[in-house]
Amino acid sequence: MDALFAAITQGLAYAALALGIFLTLKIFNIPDITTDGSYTLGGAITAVALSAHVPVVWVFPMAFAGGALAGVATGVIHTRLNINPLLAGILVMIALYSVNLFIMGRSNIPLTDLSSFFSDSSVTNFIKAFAFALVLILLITLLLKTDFGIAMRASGNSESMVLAMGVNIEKMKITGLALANALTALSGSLMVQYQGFADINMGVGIVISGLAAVILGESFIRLAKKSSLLLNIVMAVAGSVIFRVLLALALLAGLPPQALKLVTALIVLSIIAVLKISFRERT
Amino acid sequence: MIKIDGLTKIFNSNGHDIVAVDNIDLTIQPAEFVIILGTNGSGKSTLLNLLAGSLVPTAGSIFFDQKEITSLKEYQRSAFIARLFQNPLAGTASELSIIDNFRLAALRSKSRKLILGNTKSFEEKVKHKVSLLQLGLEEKLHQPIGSLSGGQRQALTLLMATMDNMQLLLMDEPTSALDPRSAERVMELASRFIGELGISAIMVTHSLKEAHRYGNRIIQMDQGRIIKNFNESEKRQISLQQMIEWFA
Ligand SMILES: Nc1ncnc2c1ncn2[C@@H]1O[C@H](COP(=O)(O)OP(=O)(O)OP(=O)(O)O)[C@@H](O)[C@H]1O
Ligand SMILES: [Mg+2]
Repeated sequence: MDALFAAITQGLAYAALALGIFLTLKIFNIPDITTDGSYTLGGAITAVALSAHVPVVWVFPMAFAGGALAGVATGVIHTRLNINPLLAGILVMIALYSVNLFIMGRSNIPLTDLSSFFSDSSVTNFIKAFAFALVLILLITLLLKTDFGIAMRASGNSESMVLAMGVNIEKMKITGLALANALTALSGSLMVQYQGFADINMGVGIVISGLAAVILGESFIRLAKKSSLLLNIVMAVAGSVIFRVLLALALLAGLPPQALKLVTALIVLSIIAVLKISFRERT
Repeated sequence: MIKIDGLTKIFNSNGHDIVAVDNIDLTIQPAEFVIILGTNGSGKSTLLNLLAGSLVPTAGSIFFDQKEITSLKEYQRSAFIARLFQNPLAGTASELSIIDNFRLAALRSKSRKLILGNTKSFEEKVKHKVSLLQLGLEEKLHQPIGSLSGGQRQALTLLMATMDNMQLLLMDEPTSALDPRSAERVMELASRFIGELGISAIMVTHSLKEAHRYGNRIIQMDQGRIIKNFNESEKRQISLQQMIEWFA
């Protein structure tokens, strides 16, 4: 029971990551895998800042800003140098590995006895993670409904239209990648505070968690046959929680931890396969 | 109002050059509705794309109200140029609702701020405008625009163009994907807006019937050059039969 409760709390801490992937993949239609790097970046900044006794309220904006910078780097490489977004993301992700090591100074920073966003009570932690996710859901939904947000949503939809409507699409993509990676870094920050340590390899393969959350969310939307902006965003977060619960269940069922990434990949693959097959049947 | 000087566009494909637009000079006055005819590959779309800014010319310059705009990007020119594409999908954002598409269109020349602009009063305004099309779309403002037919979308794209400042309307075969009835509706609408707003417009078409019926100036292009150029009174003298012979 404790393990499941922890999994739900973690899923909520990963909500920001899911929202970041939702933005790039669903809103901007850009496959971005800067994620692994910006997630660790958020964690690294958090660990170093907390170790230096920076108040928690400042830690979040710092992680956010760090992630945003990483996103800007990917965005500039993609739009200004006209490089495929996947490649741009890989380049920045690799570069960030060194940057993160440089920030951390070593490969692992424990945070024992330091005050952080989370505490020792699992109930309080759950409430905090839930509140954090809720605020993000509301903020992102609101943002996407503003005039600026409409232009954002259109950018991933029809480039010719958006250009004809006076939108600087390059700037828009850079902004979108910045926001997405800033959210990812927030997730990294939350997880470091939840686990009580930062590790240089904490981000390896994390992009797949976000992807799984978004894809799970999308399958619920298809099942419900209802769709609205808010529902899509809520479902991405719900997907994040359910994905963590699935992994926790697999571990409880006796899965050796070494097999976790393999199972992760298999879960994502099977969701995509099921979506494809059920979608094909309907059309 | 629009002045083009020695405009040239050379494409390079697989090592050899294609001169798509060849040293064109052209002046278009306010309230002129120019029809462009020409065989496939004669450079019509390229000329329109150069004007819109989606292509950068190899040589030459473009002036708008005496100001040079050659180096302005497409999104910057959108502050005064509206477009209607051949593909009805290109002018709208499919997954966005009709009202969101209109909101974006209303801000074509303005900045898009962090405010909730889709207010009740804005919606009422759009509802009224859309109802003038008499397609019943005013009841579907919150549906994705992608759920509409090509003809409906093209009519809406045209209406969207009138939501904000527009001094030049560029239309590249706007009716070629539409059935005859929808095509006629879109053409009537375009011609009415152009007249009422007193703007300039350029339309590429392969329909000689449309070319004959609409516009107050006609141009024929061939191999990147303008080979015929008739003003309003001259255009009125040209019969449909004569136009057919231009392509013989
Ligand atoms: N992006 C491009 N790259 C290479 N060549 C191009 C490109 N765009 C157009 N061309 C060439 O330029 C010439 C003019 O093309 P354009 O599309 O302007 O013709 P068009 O008059 O619009 O023809 P259509 O009636 O078929 O639409 C053609 O030979 C075409 O192959
Ligand atoms: Mg063409």
